[in-house]
Amino acid sequence: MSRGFLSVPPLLLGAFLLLTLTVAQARDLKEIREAGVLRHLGVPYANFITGLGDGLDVELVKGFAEYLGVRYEFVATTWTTAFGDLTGRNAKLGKDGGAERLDKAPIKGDILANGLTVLPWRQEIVDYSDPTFPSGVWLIARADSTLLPISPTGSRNDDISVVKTLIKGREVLALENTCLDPRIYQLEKTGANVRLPQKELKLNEMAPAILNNDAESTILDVPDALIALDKWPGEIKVIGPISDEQTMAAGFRKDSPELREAFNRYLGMIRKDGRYNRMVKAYYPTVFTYFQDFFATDS
Amino acid sequence: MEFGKSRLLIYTAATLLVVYLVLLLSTTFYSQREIHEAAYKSLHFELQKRAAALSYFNSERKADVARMAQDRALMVFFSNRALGMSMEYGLKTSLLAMRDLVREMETSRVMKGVPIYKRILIQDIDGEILVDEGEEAGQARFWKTPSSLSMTPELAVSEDQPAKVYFMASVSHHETPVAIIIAWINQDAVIDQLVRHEDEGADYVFYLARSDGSHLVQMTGDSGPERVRRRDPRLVEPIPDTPYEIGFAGDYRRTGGLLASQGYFLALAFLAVALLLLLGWMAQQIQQRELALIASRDQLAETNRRLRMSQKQLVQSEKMASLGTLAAGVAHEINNPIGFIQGNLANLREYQAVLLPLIEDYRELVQARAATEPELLGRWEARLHGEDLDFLLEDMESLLTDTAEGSQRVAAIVAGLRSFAHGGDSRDEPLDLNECVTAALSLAGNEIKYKADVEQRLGELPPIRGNPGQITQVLVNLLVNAAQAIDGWGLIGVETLRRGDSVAVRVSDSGRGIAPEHMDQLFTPFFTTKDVGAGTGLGLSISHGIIESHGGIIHAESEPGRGSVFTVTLPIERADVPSTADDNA
Repeated sequence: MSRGFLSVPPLLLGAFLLLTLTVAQARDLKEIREAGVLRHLGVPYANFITGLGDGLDVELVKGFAEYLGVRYEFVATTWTTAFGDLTGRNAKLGKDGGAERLDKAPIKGDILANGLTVLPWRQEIVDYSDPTFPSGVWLIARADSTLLPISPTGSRNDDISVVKTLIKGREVLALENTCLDPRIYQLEKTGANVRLPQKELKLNEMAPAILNNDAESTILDVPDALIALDKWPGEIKVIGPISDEQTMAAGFRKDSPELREAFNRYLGMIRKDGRYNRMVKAYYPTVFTYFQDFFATDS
Repeated sequence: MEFGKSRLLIYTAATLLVVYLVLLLSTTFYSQREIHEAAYKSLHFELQKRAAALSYFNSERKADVARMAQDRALMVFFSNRALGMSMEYGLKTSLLAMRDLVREMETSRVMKGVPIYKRILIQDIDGEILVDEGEEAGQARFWKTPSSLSMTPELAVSEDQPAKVYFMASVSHHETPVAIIIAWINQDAVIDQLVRHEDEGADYVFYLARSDGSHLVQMTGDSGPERVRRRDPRLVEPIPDTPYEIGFAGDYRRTGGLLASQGYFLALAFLAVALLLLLGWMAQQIQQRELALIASRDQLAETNRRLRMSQKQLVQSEKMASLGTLAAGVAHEINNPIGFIQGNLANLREYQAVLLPLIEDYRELVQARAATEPELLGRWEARLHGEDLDFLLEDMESLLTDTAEGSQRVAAIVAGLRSFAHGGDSRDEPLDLNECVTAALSLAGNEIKYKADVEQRLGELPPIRGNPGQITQVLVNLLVNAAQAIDGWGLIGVETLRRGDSVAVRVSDSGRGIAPEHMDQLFTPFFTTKDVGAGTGLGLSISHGIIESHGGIIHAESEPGRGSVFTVTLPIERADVPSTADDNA
């Protein structure tokens, strides 16, 4: 017997152990309650996860853990590994615009929440909660750039076309595997000189990067752009939109439907009683003026 | 005496009033000038205070608009706008930040609950209104362009009549005027608080105007613009750091006149107080007389009550006297037959004692000879007519006994009637009422001890004359009645006291009391509320007779459910008996 066991190839054994580990760590609401801990996967990003122990999504998931009656645990991740840490298999945006599944990875968390933009390829690998935040992507330029802000036409699609026309031959900073991935917005078709950072940048480092002359302009999600405008008034300018309106939401494994349902219930409750807006106001005070409808408590 | 004091008081008050009025008139005539001077100084001081307050208010408002003009929100907005950003893509946030700044300013500046600003406007160099907040927001835009303004915030007045007060400042971006901020003051409410004098009214007002007299800014209260024509050039105070002044319109001497009027008012008040005092004194006198009348009325009522009681007692006495005569006749008529009855009954007893042994012997003889002489037995039985001899003998004994008891009772009643009619034994000797009470309590002890506690209060009494046995009998009767009136356990009180020329004994109980309709019959012979056989109904009538024969009165008061009080009053000196000297004789 022992000879037979030892004769199993080591690679197969490793794959078996990894699968066992993966299965053992994939949990839904019942298992999370039994374990007594909710693991929050998050990439430090803007004011959603500041990296200093707080942030809008940190407070949101902490409140959810309390609602479930379990302990909160933050698990830091990166944009490259975030989906693998959640689902047990890494993934990225494929060439066809869909999701490309990569190697397996140990599951490290139960919920991915860090201002995660809802994108079609991501929907193939995770289930999203109800929207938690409005978003969109703008083109931001340094103040001294010759790029001039567009005059809104009244049509979002026309505005996007105008902006994409403007960036032909211009340096535009973008960030792969995030909501600022240039492939999502077909920036390569605009003739823009898309610059991807040499080192991995955080999303909230994009505006400082153009101020540092790393590029003439950058694409930036709206919440982050609003913060940048407040931080560096007169030094950066919004040229116009790159994307249609988007939303952000928390991501769940597809085999955690009960956990997702519980989160939606909790979110609905705190949106209704005003707690959620108080959380948002603490981290994004200006966002209400832009997205009044989204944050209406009776919506 | 009282009336003399009252007159003194009135004279004193009147004198004081006259002196006060003389002094007041002197002051009014000879001190008018000083009063006017004091009024002038007082008004001038008031104007100075208000000028200082307005100056401070002016500096605070200038600081407000300067603070807004330099706020970071404006800087961000105009920077972003200078970069060409559109409202839709990025500029709206900083515009709304400016609006929040203005709203915060409006809500935080309040004077005595009234918002200081009624409108704050930010208007750009092209005349476009960027922010317009406040209760009068949306009204006409401002007509000046920022390029015509200096950088220094200033107080300004529109050329309306009356003028509107506002503060304005220009907003610059990179040292270029880009906008103006205008903050209108909630003038009617706020400026009025700073200008108005608490005493002003129809005679005079304070006003606020430009120093060159070109525009009246504010008249306080409901005074009309014509008042400003009466402004006093001596009473004007410039407001520091502004082109305005605060002044007095009207005749300041009228304010001195006001002081004199106040003096007259005080005099009138003094007179009124004096009159009030006089009225109060008169009211007190009337009240005293009223009290005296009430006392007289009560006294009359008491006298009347006593009179009625005496009348009632007199009627009762007459009734009793009639009853006594009747009772005496009846007693006399019954007394002889009852004597026969009782004597005959005694004889019958003696005859019975002789006859009964004879009958027994005869019966034994008949029985013994029955065998030899049956006709004798037949005769015996024929005589008996079927009756049971033993029963007849026993029943005869019983009948005699009952008859004897009945006759004794009739004799007792007759004796009682005689006693009621004639007052019994008229023996007369020195008598201590307290000793009678003690003796009565002792005799009635058996009746009382299972029914009530006894509370004695025996006062010091002089000896009187009478029959101690009869008085004791009356008291025993009252005590026994008291005990019998108590259901369960109660209290019997016995009190002796002296009342002028009389002595009295009060026997009270906490018993059932006597129904009002029975009160008139209490002393009537044979009236009783006790169970049949429990009383003859003669006790109280006999007592009444005894007390009356002693020249006294017996009186009853009762409240049903609360108890009764019987009071026996006896004279210390009786008119119908010889004096002590005779007793000793």
